[in-house]
Amino acid sequence: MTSFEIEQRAAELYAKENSLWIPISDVITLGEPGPSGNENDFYVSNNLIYKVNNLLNSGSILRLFDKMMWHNNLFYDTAYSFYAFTGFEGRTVMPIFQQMLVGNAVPATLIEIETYMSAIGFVKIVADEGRFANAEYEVWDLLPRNVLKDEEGDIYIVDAEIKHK
Amino acid sequence: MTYLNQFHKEAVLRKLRKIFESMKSPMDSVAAANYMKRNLETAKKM
Repeated sequence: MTSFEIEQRAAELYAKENSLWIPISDVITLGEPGPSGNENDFYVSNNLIYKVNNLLNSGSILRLFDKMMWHNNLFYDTAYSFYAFTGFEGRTVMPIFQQMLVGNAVPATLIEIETYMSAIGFVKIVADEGRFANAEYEVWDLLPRNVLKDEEGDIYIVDAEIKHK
Repeated sequence: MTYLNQFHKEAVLRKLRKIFESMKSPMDSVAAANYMKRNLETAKKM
């Protein structure tokens, strides 16, 4: 078995032993389906977004949990919390995360994103749009599809790729 | 949680207050899903 397969089986066993397993057929009951991305399927109910992550970007469950921890450190207002695991038994296991919906907001522009990140101490990496860094983290994929601005101009980083240096 | 500077702290706390306030009267789920889809379509054009 590969390390990925070992992690998958361990996660499935842990989930079932701790009542954290949702059969894939029941995922639809989490809420109304939202827009699907490359990495996540979304479901929304009661201002809570459930994100089923297919591990396409992170490559492993542990690396995804690391990313969520870093996200919560930097962007606590849009923090993710682990909800459950789902998948196809004996095969694919995917974590489900919960995030509070940011309502009354529209996608932020690149300039608005840059202004906010600069205000919290990040420097723009000129060669790559939507990429920023400070002494401890590198953050990228900060594009309008992942960042919202509310009616008062507050910026919400809803999703990001993050690396801890 | 790491507050990077005073602005970050004030902004995070202010945004959390707004989010928690909105949780008291949550959007209808269908309306919320459509809102998310509209935002994604808008973002794709930006």
